[in-house]
Amino acid sequence: MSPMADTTRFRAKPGIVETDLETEVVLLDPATREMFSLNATGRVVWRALPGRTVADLAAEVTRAFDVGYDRALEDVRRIVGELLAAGVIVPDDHDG
Amino acid sequence: MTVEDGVLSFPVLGRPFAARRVPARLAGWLRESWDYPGYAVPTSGYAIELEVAGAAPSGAAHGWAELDVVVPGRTLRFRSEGSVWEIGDEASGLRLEIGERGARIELWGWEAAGDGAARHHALYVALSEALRASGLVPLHAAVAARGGDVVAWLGRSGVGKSTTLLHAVNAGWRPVAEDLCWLEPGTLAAYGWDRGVRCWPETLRRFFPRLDGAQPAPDGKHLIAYDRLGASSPRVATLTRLALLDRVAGSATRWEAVTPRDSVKALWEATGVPLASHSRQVTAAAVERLSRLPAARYVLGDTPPHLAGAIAGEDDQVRGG
Repeated sequence: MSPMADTTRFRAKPGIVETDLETEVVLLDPATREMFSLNATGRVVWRALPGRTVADLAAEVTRAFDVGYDRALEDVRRIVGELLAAGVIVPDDHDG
Repeated sequence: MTVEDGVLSFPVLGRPFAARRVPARLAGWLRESWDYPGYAVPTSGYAIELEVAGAAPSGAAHGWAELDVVVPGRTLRFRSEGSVWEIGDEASGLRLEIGERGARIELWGWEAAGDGAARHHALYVALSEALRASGLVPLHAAVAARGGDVVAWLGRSGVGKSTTLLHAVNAGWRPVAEDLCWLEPGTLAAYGWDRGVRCWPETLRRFFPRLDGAQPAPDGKHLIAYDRLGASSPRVATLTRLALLDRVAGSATRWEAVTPRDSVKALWEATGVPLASHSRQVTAAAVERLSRLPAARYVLGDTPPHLAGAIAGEDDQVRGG
């Protein structure tokens, strides 16, 4: 996978169903019946996803947890990479 | 259940259901699979209509999205556009249209279709979708109740739900469902949706000899009607706990802790994924609520069953026979 730019935006794949457990989220792709779990950090990223860049998401994580920006950015890149690989998010081609 | 002017009608958990021009065998299947008159559920404004038509409806389904639905032993490929789903071809098939106030199912070429099991599966899916659209959620689980405790045993087909249910009955629990119930998501009331417990003859002989000699089913299993198990009708109870069933040969039968994530995954497998997006949201809300119930994994190994501890906190004595 090519490295993602920190200015890239993503959105949920249409139809993904979420079950929010408050400290984590379980995502279900109805087309494949595959399920994907997100921990507390992943839940923050998932909730903040629409319209935000990778850098924005990292800033969101620093607000939610006691963690520095660089560490947050590293976590967000990993989480977004996993979500992309699982097919539950896609790059958002629309500006803004 | 009534039949007037060729219209078969009965409520399905309060949802008015009417079937027109259905052949006798189909009418029998509808009654057997969907007519449970014992449940006192307030009448719903969501009506379900079924009609057997002479020919396929107009409006070809070219370019519609395809969606596979997995049912026991096969995969059904539906086509969809908006709130309409179809399966089959010009010669025989089914169309389901989901509306806000009701659902309509149209069948054509029903009696000419070759694969009877496939068309019954397709109709079952369509009727289930209609009920889902009315706000209910199916739950594939064995359910048993004792006092205020109501446990849903979740697990894949063949893992041991029926046998565990019979062990629970032997330990004084009341059976609610062997494999399927319909759930009212707002209250978690579970309505048992089967006619008895199906069990292999050797399992009956080994653990429940007093029940041996029950009515045999075409698949070789015996159907033990609920009245033989002391179950009163109607079989409805409000769920209070989940038990995630697993089978591990060569190990001891035991209870294990589970995470809410484990419960969510088991619950989605037990509810299935609806065709309609609105129903998916209803199911997701139900799964979320159910996942907050106390839950534990019950691992069926080679040692005798023990239902105590994580299920009820009591020292159940499981009796053979």
